Amino acid sequence: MKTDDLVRALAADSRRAAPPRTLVVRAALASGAIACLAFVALVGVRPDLLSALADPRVAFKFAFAGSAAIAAVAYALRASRPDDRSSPLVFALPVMALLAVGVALELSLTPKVIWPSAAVGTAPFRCLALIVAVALVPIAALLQAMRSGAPRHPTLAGAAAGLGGGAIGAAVFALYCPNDSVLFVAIWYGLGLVIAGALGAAVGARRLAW
Amino acid sequence: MPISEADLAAALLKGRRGDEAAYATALFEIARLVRSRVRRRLGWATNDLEDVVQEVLLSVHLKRATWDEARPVLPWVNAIADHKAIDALRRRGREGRLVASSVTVEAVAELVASPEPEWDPVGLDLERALAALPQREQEVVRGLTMQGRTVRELASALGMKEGTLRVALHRGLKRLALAARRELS
Repeated sequence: MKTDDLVRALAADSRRAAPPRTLVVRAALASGAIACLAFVALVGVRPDLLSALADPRVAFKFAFAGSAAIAAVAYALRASRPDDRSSPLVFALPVMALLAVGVALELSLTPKVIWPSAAVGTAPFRCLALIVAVALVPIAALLQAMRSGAPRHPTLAGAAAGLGGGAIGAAVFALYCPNDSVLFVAIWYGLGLVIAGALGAAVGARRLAW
Repeated sequence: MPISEADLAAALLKGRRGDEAAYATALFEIARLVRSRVRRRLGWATNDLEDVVQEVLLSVHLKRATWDEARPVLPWVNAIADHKAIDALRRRGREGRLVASSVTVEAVAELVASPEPEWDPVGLDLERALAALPQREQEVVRGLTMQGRTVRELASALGMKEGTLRVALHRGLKRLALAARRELS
């Protein structure tokens, strides 16, 4: 095919192309809402939710998950550009700092003897499984939306989508989760995020290639 | 006639707002820029080079929404070109055609000696991929590559609604891009 002819055909394809940013943000919000509704309908919320929200450790759970979701999606959007040179660390650092501060506070305010039991909590693997399960819809939605992009590193972009979806799932799960220790959040929500990120990376490597 | 980066950006923006002629101008210029960039970096023989150029154009078009108007356009184009060139390198890996990434004296001499080619560059990969498209999409893409055919004219010639044709065109182009990526040496 002559290049000149190809250009003609390309110029004729004049549909407006939606920018990845619009599609990704829409996907995050929509999938978050769906995951929330489905989760609340199928599993429910913690009975003391309203009073628990006054507990700074519970508020922290939402702050951590929320900031992780925003940072991950923001980086995913950047990473969807072929000429992107941003460092993922710049986006991760504030979230990690927040987590570090929370952990430090809890360690300083609680007696050493209860740290292990606080860290393990009740039914941690069930929590982990639920976080990952709730995260699946947002992860899939984010990955699909990011197919409109052109990431330099599809695996890394996929990991960001996975982390974003994982954080959305964690935020939804926090409506139900009975374990309020920041140590618990750091370990088990953290693990959930890592698993979600790995899932996103594995899928992204193929699905986000262009 | 080479155009400046600012003019290229302006042409792309006009294209974004529906000016097909401006968009075509931008694409022709991008083809010219990419051709020399890839040739400089890979030192490839003509037809292979044109395959990469065409793949880059296809990507530039399909991923046009990833260019942020607030950012310079050349780094964006170059990033796409480099990405596809690396892809092609991995896929083909033919020894003897590859030049080291640092510019060699021979490569510079060759560049200086050969002016802009006068032939009509032809790519073979997309031609093959086109032949493998579903019939409808093939008809549409081929039809629009012909001189002076508009979407409306082709739609009536094929007995399709304009909207249907546009969908077929877009699908066909996406399929071409996928096929080009999967091309094995």
